[in-house]
Amino acid sequence: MEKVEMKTKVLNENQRLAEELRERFRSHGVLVLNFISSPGSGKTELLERTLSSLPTTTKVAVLTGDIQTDNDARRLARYGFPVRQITTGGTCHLDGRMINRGLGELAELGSTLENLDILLIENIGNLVCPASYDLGEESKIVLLSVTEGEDKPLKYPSIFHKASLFLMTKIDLLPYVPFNADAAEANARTVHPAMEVIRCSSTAAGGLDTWIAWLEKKMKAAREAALTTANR
Amino acid sequence: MHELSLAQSIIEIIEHEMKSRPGARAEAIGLRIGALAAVDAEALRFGFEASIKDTPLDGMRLDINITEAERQCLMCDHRYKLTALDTPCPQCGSSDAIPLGGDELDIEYLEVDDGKS
Repeated sequence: MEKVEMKTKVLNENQRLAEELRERFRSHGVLVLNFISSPGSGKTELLERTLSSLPTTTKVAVLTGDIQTDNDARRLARYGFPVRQITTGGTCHLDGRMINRGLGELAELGSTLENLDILLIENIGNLVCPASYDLGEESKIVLLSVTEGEDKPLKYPSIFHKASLFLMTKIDLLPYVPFNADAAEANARTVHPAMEVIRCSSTAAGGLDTWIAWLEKKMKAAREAALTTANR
Repeated sequence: MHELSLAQSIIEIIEHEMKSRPGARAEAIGLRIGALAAVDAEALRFGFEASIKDTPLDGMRLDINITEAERQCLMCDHRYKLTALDTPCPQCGSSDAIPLGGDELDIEYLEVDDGKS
């Protein structure tokens, strides 16, 4: 009997692909964000508002994942930016291979990394599985709406541990639901002490400007980092 | 339920490793799963056993070692294990800390029977 030391990651193949993607995104100065939440927290709605709020000069593309249907891609395509649907046919998360394929399809629409500022990836509605798969993104963004439980960060710690921004959505409903927003923030910081939090609503006034400002700051940082690397 | 996908990734890694050992039999695989990895060990075991049934790997043992996440205190630099999500620093009581790991999903070893004693 021989015991072979392995020291390899179970997801080493996905990790290798994700690192390759990250390197490509970074060298082109493209900000890539991976949006993760339960079904119904408002990912698509937030992306719609984001697409309609960004300056028209911003070069943005969207990859949106669903188990079935291309409804989200059709909703998002109305804003005139390139959108591709990734239909997983049962798989509960997106992985690096699917992103690679999605990039190929975006390129067919004329949207390549050379002419993009930002790529928004809407993951499958699921707070568990997408947390395990690196897509080469710069940041994972977790959404939690005020119609859900404020203890979700404690119930699903992995995604709150890995996300760098927590978007608390649907805050216009706060007067009508028993959700304690401060407790939700505190729960998120219990899991992830340095978590950034933005409270926003996609359908009423409040917070969306803060979110767009966050996005523009990150886009600028991605562009500058790519220039610095190129000039070195 | 991504444990079935994970089980398949583990099997691919084992099969790749066994290619260089013709005639040998894989007896066991050792995994290390962090407490924050979002992996259900029993679901993974179920997915693994179902996937290797009636294959050359049928009967393999899956050893799972679950490790606690750690944090490093930002106030006093003390490094401590996270026994619960809200564990404060046992040395100074602060909750400001940097997470260290806890999301591992690693293969540590493979036990192979190569027919030699």
